[in-house]
Amino acid sequence: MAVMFDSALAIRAARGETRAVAELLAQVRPGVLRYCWAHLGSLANASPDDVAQEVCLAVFQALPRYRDRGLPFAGFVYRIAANKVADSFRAARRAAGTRSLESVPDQIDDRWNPERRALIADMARRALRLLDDLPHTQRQIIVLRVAVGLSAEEVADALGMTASAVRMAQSRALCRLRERARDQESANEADEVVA
Amino acid sequence: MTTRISDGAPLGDEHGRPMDLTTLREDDLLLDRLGRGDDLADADADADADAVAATLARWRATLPGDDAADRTNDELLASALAVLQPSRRIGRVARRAAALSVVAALAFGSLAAASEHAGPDSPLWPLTRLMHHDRVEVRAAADAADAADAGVSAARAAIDANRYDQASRMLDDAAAAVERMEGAADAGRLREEIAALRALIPAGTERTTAGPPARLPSSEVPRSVVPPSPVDSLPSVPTSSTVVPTADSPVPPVGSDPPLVPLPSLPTASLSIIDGPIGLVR
Repeated sequence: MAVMFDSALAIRAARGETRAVAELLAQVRPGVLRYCWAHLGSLANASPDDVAQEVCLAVFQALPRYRDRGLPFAGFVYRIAANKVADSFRAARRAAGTRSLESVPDQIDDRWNPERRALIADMARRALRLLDDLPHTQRQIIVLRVAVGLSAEEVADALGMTASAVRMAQSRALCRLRERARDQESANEADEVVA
Repeated sequence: MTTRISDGAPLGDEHGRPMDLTTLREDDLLLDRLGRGDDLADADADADADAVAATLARWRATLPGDDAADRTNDELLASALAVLQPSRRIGRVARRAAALSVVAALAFGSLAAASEHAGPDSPLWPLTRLMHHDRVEVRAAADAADAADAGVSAARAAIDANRYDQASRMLDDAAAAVERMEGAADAGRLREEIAALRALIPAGTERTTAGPPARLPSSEVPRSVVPPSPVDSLPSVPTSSTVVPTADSPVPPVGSDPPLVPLPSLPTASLSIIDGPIGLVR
């Protein structure tokens, strides 16, 4: 599970303390990487690893300004991540059918195994299609809670809500998804009876 | 019954149906476990019954774990430090510049204050001339007046002692000093005194110009022609009030020439060192 973001650590890192930078990077990167894979994993011509790298660098580049914004650190990070992912999503859509060399990673790992990549893309498509029915805020909450692994309190920080409001919204989202799944199941059963 | 939570918002689903706290808590725990990547099939037999939870769990399982995130940490750390460097450097340079300007302002202020009363022999004299130009002019005029006064007094003593050549040179020096007084009130009086003393010097005594005296090589300066210094710069001039007549030093008769002030012995080697002052002597 993701470590609770430490704003004091972020301020020390902003001063350029190497140890604080390393510690903060270790806290931020896993969640950012999963966030990018969750949103871009279904796109063949996108490189979620590179986008995650860009997000991390953008976070550190903007870090000296973090203090002045009065925003919880999780919100600061995932606002940057959301913008970068949206940019990459649009770029990948524009370049649909082609694949730029930049999107091919230098080091091939297990996730780039074609079979594995196909499975990841299929699961990402199903999950995102499932979440597509949700209002924007509820979808964000489920992605941050499940894919990134943030706690309800961290999601509340990231989205500028109270933890209670997040818990209520996430329950509403799950309730809605379960209803839709039941409806889908009923429709399938009806199709089988007709057949 | 509608359950309320701590922030006072009514709990209900999107259709307005009430949601109980147990559902809220169970959903929260479920999402915590999904976020951790727990295997729901092993942990909870009911998970199979929840198709939504199962789909979300499979999705979460395909996403990279924390170990994958560590793989390129070193490269990313170097890049993160590199992007932080410019702001760090700018901040450091700005702080140093501010500190230096404060130190420079304090140092300049102190030097300017200290230079206010510095004299020509002080290392701060160039700064005094720059910062306190009016004060320097006043001081130069005062120094010239002192020099002229001393020269007139010494010339008068030389005339009294019938050393007219020496008196003439002293009057030339005094006249040059008067010219440097630049309109001081005493300049007129000193000119008159100089003119009066010149009148006492017999005609035929060599008259020198008021210009700078010709320099003689120090090796050619005979010791016997070294004149007495101005009155205020004599090392120890015995006066009538301080000299007690003894058998070895009888009081000279009234009207006779007073004896010359004995000169301190000058080592020959030192003449080249004090070439400047000696060069003024003719």
